[in-house]
Amino acid sequence: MTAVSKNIASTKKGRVNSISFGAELVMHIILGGFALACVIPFIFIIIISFSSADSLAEVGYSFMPIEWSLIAYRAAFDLGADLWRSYFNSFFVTTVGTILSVIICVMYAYGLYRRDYPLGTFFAFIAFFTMIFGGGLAPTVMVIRNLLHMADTYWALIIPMLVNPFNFFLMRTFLRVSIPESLIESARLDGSGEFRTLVSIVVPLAKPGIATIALLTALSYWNDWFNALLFIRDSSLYPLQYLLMQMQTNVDFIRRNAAILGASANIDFSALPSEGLRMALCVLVVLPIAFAYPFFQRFIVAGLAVGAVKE
Amino acid sequence: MTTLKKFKNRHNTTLAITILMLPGAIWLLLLRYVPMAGIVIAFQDYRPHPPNPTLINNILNSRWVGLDNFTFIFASADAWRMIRNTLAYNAVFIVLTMLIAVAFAIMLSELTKKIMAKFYQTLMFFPFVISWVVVSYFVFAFLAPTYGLLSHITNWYMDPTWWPLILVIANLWKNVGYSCIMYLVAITSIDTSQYEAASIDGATKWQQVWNVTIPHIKPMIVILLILSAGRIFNADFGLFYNVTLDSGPLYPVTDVVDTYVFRALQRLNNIGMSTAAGLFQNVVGFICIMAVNGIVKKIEPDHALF
Amino acid sequence: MKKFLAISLLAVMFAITACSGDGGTASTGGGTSQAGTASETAAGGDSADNNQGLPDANLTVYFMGATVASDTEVVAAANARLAEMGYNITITPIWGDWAAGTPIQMALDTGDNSVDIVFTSSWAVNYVPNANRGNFVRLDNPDNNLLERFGQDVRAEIPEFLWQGFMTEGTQGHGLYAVPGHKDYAQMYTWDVNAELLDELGFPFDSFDWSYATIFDPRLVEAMEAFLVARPGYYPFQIGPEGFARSLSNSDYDITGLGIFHFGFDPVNPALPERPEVITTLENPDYIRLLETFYDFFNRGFINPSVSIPGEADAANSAAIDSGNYLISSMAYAYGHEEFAQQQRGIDSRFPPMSAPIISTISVQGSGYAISIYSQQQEQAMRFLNAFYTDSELATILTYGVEGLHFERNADGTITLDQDMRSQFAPWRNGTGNIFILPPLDVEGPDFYERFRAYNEAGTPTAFLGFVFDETPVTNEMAALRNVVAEFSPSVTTGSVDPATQVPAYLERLNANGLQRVHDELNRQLAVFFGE
Repeated sequence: MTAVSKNIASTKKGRVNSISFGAELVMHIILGGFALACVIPFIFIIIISFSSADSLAEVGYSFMPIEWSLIAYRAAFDLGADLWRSYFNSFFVTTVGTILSVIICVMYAYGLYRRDYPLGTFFAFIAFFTMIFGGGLAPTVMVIRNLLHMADTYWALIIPMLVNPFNFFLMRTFLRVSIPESLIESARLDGSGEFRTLVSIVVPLAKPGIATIALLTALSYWNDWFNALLFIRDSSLYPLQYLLMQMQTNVDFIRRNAAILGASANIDFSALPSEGLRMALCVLVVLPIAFAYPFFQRFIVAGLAVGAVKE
Repeated sequence: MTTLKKFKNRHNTTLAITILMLPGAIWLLLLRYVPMAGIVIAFQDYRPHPPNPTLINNILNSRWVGLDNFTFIFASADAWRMIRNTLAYNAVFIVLTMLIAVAFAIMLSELTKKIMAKFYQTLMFFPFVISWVVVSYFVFAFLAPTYGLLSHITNWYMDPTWWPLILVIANLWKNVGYSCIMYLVAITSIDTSQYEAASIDGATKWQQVWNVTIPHIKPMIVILLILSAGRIFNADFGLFYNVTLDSGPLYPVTDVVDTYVFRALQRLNNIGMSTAAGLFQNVVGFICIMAVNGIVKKIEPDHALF
Repeated sequence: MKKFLAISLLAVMFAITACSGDGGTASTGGGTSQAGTASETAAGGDSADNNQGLPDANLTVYFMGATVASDTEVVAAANARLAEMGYNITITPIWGDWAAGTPIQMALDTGDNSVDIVFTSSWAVNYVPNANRGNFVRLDNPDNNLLERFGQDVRAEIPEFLWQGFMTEGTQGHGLYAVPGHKDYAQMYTWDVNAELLDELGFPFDSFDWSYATIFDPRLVEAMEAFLVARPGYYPFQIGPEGFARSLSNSDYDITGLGIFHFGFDPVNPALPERPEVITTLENPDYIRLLETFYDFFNRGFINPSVSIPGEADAANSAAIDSGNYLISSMAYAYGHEEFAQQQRGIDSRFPPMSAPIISTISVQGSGYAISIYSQQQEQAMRFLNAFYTDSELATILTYGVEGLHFERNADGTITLDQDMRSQFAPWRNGTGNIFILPPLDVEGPDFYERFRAYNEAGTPTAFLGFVFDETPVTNEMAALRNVVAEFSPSVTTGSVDPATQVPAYLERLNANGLQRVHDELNRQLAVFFGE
């Protein structure tokens, strides 16, 4: 059924909206070339992370290492339970944070979107103003630590990033371009309350926009380590990024200062991870989000296909 | 009677929407506006004040120094160099990213094979996921002396000639996919009937893009432009510090405000000076964003930020 | 309208912040009472005589350089020991690893009152700037002399010149803002020579005198040419940014931290002259000759071009040295490094000294423990430090763990570590306040600390020991100069660029950014230091 309608749609589109074969080919070359250039680095990094130290010394960074090795990952997997717990922490914080953040964002953006809402300009300005002016580190930390008492809890990782005014304005623009206000007006005439309008009309229509915001939010939660640095001292709450970053800093520090630390530094140098460590660490961080990405993408580009069949 | 009802109705609407905005507003109040009082540190010789060194006590008791904390940015003989670099790179980044992302988004939307469009778009977003530190490894793999793939051409990290180009490419590579999604989402909300109508009127493909697509995504273009104007004085630290590996001979073309401040304050922990630097960048951004917003408001009041 | 809105909003925010500030105060009060209840377990709590009426305390102590997975038994044993000694104190250690410098600094910069004692040094959680900004409690404050009241034992235990080296300017006056770590306090630059390979190439190790002038020996060039043939793809001369040059220039003793001033004491007898001059390193002809030599080495392919890139130098260097693919390098030596290096590299590396062991302000500030100004229990923190630096049993627990579990004592006074337990609990020994009260390890031998002391005592204090540069009067110049140094130093000091053109360019930029003003200020402060 859908296949048929899609078919019809595309033939129809093909008839009225065709672009020349040549133009399409050029577009494929440009877009395909750029797209390839975008992933090759990551593939390269994966290859480097599996290259042995000898291979790195011999041929440098290469797409074709002369010897493969898991050694770079050994150091990471030696972390054992810590590694898996930090995966869980990151996953938990990202999920909860993204859901809450997107809900707040959609609600706020809806108010900004409504031209008939008299306080819209006010709220737009107070959001905008914080995008430009922050209060500096110490006072912000004080609010989280001394006023809200959130240090060493998951909240300290979630709350500081809950709101990004930038996303408010993005979301507002998404709403503006995808939902005509007449639709809201007619819903109101039908007796629909604001909340119901938001949930049953706005949200379904704004799915691609919401998914985009969710993706950006999830990314920033997943990649955050700074809040852990500020607020988390209990290592069982370390998010992945922070754990791995600490590990890298630790190793770099030892390399740089091996001599001044003295013989008593208790460093087992044979256990120090190889050059490939930093690559391995970034593979470990990027992979989960790479797998999660198609999930968001389904909503984001759903519109691409839908657009073609829409009436 | 009906006007009263209408008024009441309107009143209810306002109340309902305000309630929806409250969570965000409360957050802004607590985590942005309350700490904003800390900006005064930029004008102080801020030090803990025993015996009760709470933030508020420290602020109340620290010495006021006027604009002294700001002067270090301009005291350098290189002040002009870093300010020029910061503004010029940002301007180029903003314009090029916008042009290329819009072009790519339109091309993606025009492809007949949607599956390919989806595929390309997925891959394009990827660099946005990777941190600058990782990008720096990749760049190093190409440009490293001796081992790098392009090492035979020149000693890249000693020779500033090509770095403006390298930085622009790196920045585009990382951010185009992200902007592209924004425009793409905007494009997908266009009703196809508009294209059909245009097509029936005999519009060529090019005219359709110009008359239907571009006007439709204009709000998105404008909002992204306005928002990036606010960051005009904030350079991307990761790009200018990590990707260049902080190599000294490149400074003439890589030194920007953020890297300068970082190096200047690395050993000190002078909160006053770092707050001052941030505040200065923000004020410039604020002026810039207000100017751009003002212009937009004159031309297209609907697309303005507020 | 908008402006008015913004201004009135700001006014409201200030009012709210004021309230929240009170909230902050209240909560810190809460923190104290909480700590009080938490430490009721301390057995010494009721022996008020010893504790001088101080409330029970639970102290958070931030260590550095530790690899600790589990510390339950250790903390219990340490607290039991404190109770046994009659202290109403318990501790909660935070075992920071080598990456802990940043979180410790963050805690200080954001006024975290949950941390009482922190590690500090001249290379991480920098002692001087932190004291300067007021983050540490002055221990010999005339108004509240903690050291005199609670630290008499540690005051007597640690050599006087270490205290002298910790004297600095701070918000509470010129004085002591941390208890110095008692470990190796002499610093020395050594060669790092791949003796095995040198012999193999036909240049016997003993045929060089390995003084500081050996770098100019033409036979060294021949040896490195031979290396290039024997080990293609590798570089014989391993030099980090500033590395070799600074070891020959005294610039490492540049107390300004810029590394551009030559503190003109004699490298062979650092106590001389009595009133050394400070000059700009780049004006020292010996130094320029050295840079020219490096440039020659660079052109001959002896030096890895990567080492002038700050971000890559360490990786490039350590990879080559660890695998034994080098001929000559230099190092800032720490006691006992030989065995360690040889075991790690599996080759015969030797470390002939190129300068005498020097005791300088920087080397003395190699480690220490400070009390955070935000601590609510400063008296008790001082009492703990006193115990930590003087009680062998407590220090041993916090360094090696629990007897019978983490280690066994031997008849000759040494201890044997349980390697399995050590992998769970391995603090950095030199980060223990006073390593000379620890039992030696079996592998080190019973006379280890005698040898260690002898090494320390061979060190000569420079005339500058105890001098600290207060950069407040030249803050802007220092900020600008740091950037100039970052721009030029890595390439100039590694021979990567021609000194004939780059040294004048470097000097010109230094001068344009206020070198002279900093130099004048330095001389002024030195005149005060030398009592002129």
